[in-house]
Amino acid sequence: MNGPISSRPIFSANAGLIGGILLVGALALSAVLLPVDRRLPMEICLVLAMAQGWNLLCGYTGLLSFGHQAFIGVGAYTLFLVVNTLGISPFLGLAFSAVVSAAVAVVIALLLKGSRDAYFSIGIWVLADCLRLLVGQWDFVGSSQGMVLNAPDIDPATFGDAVFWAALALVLVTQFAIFGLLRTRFGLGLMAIRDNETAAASVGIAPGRSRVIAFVASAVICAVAGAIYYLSVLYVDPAGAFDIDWQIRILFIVIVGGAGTLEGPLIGTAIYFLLREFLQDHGGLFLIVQGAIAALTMLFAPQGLWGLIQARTGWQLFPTKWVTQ
Amino acid sequence: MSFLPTILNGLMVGGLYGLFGLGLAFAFGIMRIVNIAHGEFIVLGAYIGASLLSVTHMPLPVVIALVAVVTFGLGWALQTVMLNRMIGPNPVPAMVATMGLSIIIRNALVEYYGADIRAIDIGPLQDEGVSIFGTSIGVLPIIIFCTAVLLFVLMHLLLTRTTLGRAFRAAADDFEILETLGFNRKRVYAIAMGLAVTLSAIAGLLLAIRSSYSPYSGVERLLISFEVVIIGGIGSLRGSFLAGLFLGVVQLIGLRINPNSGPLFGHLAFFLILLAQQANLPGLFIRRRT
Amino acid sequence: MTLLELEHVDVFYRDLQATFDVSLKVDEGETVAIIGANGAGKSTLLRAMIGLTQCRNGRIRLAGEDVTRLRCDLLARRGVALVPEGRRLFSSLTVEENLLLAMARARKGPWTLGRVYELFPAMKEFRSHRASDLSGGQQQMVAISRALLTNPRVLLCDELSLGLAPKVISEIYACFDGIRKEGVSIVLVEQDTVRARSASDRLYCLLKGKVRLAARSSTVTPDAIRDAYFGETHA
Repeated sequence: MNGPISSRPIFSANAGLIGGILLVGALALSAVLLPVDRRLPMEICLVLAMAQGWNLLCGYTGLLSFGHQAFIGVGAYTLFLVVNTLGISPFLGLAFSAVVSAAVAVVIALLLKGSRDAYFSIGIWVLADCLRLLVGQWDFVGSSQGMVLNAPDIDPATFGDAVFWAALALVLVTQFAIFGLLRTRFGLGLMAIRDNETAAASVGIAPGRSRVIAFVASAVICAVAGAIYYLSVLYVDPAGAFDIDWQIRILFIVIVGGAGTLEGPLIGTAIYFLLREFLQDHGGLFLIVQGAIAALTMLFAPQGLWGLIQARTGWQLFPTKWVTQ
Repeated sequence: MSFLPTILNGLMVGGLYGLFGLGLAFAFGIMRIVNIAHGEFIVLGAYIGASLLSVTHMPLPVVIALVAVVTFGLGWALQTVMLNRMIGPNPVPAMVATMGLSIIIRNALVEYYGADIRAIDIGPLQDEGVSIFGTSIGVLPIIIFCTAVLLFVLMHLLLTRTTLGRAFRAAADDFEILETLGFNRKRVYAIAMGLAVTLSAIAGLLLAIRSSYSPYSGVERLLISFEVVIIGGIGSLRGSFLAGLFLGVVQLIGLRINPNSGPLFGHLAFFLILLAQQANLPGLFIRRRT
Repeated sequence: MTLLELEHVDVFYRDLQATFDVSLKVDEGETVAIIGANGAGKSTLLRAMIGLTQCRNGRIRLAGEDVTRLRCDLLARRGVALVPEGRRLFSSLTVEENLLLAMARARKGPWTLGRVYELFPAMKEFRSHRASDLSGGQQQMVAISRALLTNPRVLLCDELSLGLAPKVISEIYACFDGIRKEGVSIVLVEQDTVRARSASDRLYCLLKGKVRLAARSSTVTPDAIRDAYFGETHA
């Protein structure tokens, strides 16, 4: 790694295109191969989107959140509330999920503005737990019983497909929006903050503002993905929507795949769902294996699988790194 | 109805919360490691203790001692096998690794013991009560509270009177210099983690004797521990103890007002204090150093 | 007899090479000064001597034994002690607790609490103070005492005079005669060349990580030191 840093990043539009084509191809293939039941591909899309959103925060700003289930719950409950009370289309309701979750994220950012590292990680976890308990007390949304989506104009024949396309659209928009974002000055600033906050601040990057933007973006992505997921099952309850298991899933995917890369969550998602398909008959074992893989990854490959591959080969499907020559 | 019994009970639970926080703060203060599996170790203490009690019928103090030995070994092993390789300026690897460990322990407990909520029955002592200030208080909670206070006193003596305790405090200040005085840093860390886990596991067992527990109790107990640490400050025994009492009282009063609120009131009180700290007001129990 | 010996040592500070092919030796009971400008690699070399930084190439021997790869705490227990730059006392401990901690893993030897209080009588008055509440000179007394209480064979002193008033520096250096009497070897790292020369038997001058001068302190000329220190050549 010795030698001067090149004045231009060695990334061409081509390399990004390769990653994009691979991703679209894989998703389209899964959609074609599973034409009848699109629940699994839908879930894959949603979990991948959540992972990318969380990765934007953890991998690119170094803020490790254990509380993103809060946004999944907020997104889902917002959707159910506006659809049931205003009678609008569920897909229009997703816009409300995005706006409300952004507002919640800004409030949380203000609450936790002085909290770093573990303080942030667990502070947001406590907040998510507060939201779970408060929603569980709120009779209007069915308290701990949860609520059913009241949308009479849903056509059962096409609804499943519509939800799947919404999920696919979300993950593609997420992947390419984050890819685009990271290649701007803002993205470079984020990475600079993660690597050396003091140095970044000294060249005029505002660490606080950049972090808040990344935080709100990750919250909105998780909220919309959560809303689509609970839309697909037409039912939401606080224990499920605010479940720490959502966070564990996301964390596993990003950490094992490789935080701070756009390819990592792709690999992580693949591993997660393969593992789940193989172990789905042994619920407890699946979770134990998940925990063990996460811990072992931290021990032997803290950069994640894609980090290992990248270190060996230098490959970048979604190139965002300025490479030294 | 008087709130006095609620407050007294809250104080007595709070002593255990103080121990939870002390264990977490101990590892964080000395090694800068946040042990996300802390709550699971608290629950593990209860399960190990309950198994020993039901299988061997040994007296409670002996069981507590055995739980202490076993969980000390677990903490030692955790630090030696895993966390000593993750020491460094970046706190994320250790947090993720212990998060993974917490998932393993929680689900292993579910697999082995089942997910149902349990309570430990230790016989007739459970029902005895005495009258204090005109209200009846259980003998058992008083004994448990006294045990918690005793553990705090022992920790205080350990930290101020023994070489090991001084080494812990010195390691928190400057571990390199401690090494130049001939101390093996990783061994000091392993003992510290062993002690942190032991304290929490004993407190977890004591809490399980006076209330209920399940494999899923770990998350709530981790959050309580964390709240104690933030309210009470790191590196202050008195701060941890008082913060534990405070949270215990808040939580039990909250449960009196709304029996379904769970730890909600504790969380909210914690956030009020966090906000006050961020506004640079003095903490409730600690004077902030500027 | 040679006590501490470095052969062709390369030490890195993170990814930067701090010393290049440094060889030096310290005899038993001898005081050796290592001088050089800021960034010459002096402190990094001291860190290598006590094992806080591993050297990438070369050998370190202590009393003939190869200790190149030995961990810091094991080196300390074999008789290497450090008075670190900036004193680095344990700030949440009292003065006496700092000293007691040093005695816990100490080798057998002449230094006891009583002896260091004899060496620095003033220390008795603030023995129960927190280390963070002391003045720089007071901290330096505690730092030296703490290192001595491990009963070292070789005492490594990093920039003793840094940030202290001249009068205090003189007092600190005055006590070195008492320390030397116990037969301990001393390595002094200093930027103050005059002080280093007068306090040492021999001196090495580092320039950009390389030994530029190795000489007897009593015979070396100030000009030779200046040339080695600044890297000038009279061509």
